[in-house]
Amino acid sequence: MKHPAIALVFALAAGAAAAGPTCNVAQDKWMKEADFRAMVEKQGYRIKTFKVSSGKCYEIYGTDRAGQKVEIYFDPQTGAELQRK
Amino acid sequence: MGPRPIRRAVAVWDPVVRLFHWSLVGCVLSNQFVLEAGEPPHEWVGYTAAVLVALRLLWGVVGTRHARFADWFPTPARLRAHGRGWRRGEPDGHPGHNPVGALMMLLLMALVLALGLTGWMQGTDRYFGEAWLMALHEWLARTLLAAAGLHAAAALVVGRRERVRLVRAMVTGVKEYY
Repeated sequence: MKHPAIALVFALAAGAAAAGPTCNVAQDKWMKEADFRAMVEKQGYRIKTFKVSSGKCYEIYGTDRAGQKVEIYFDPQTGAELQRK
Repeated sequence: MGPRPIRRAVAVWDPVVRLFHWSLVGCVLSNQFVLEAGEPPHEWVGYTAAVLVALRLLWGVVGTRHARFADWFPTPARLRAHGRGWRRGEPDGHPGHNPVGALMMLLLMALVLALGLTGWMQGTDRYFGEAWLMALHEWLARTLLAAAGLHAAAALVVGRRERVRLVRAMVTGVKEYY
């Protein structure tokens, strides 16, 4: 009775998607963090937190021009916006 | 060792306790493994879990006998007595939660509430995107999962030691000794 339940838990764990998009870019091709920040701020965002996401993309938490909260993923090589929440 | 005293089946867990338990299991597993963090479904499930715990705390005051804190709150005296009995290999005399299990209940419920709070805070203007808060939320989640795993393992180990079907008891409400 217990073993199918345990198997189910592992199946779910294995199938759980990493939050956000995945970026397959070698780390030596990533933009410098300072350059990336400057680029994003030039687009009108205020960055509160910068991080490398679990899918190895650049990710920022901050506000847009209107002061709305934004969470955005970027390609770490090109700086292209990939997804926003 | 002499023959064990035959202990009769006892009804311990009322339907509210059982429904609470398995609903909480469902909330924790789906938020950990299925629903994407930060999305609305993850938030709803997290708040549902917090409300379930709040109701369970209320039920700990007004509920049936073994649901009530008075029956199982792990006071130092109860913990000491339990430790002595355990070392002597005496069968556990608590039909409801034993004191160590009760500590785990409190820890698990506190973690669920703390997750609800730190999750809610991330949606506020002030704490949105705070790295330390996200890290804390993730740490709480990992700790909850580890504690829940320990709790499940203890149910199996203690059940074997005490010769009682503990997992089944949380389904049927009745502790059957074998």
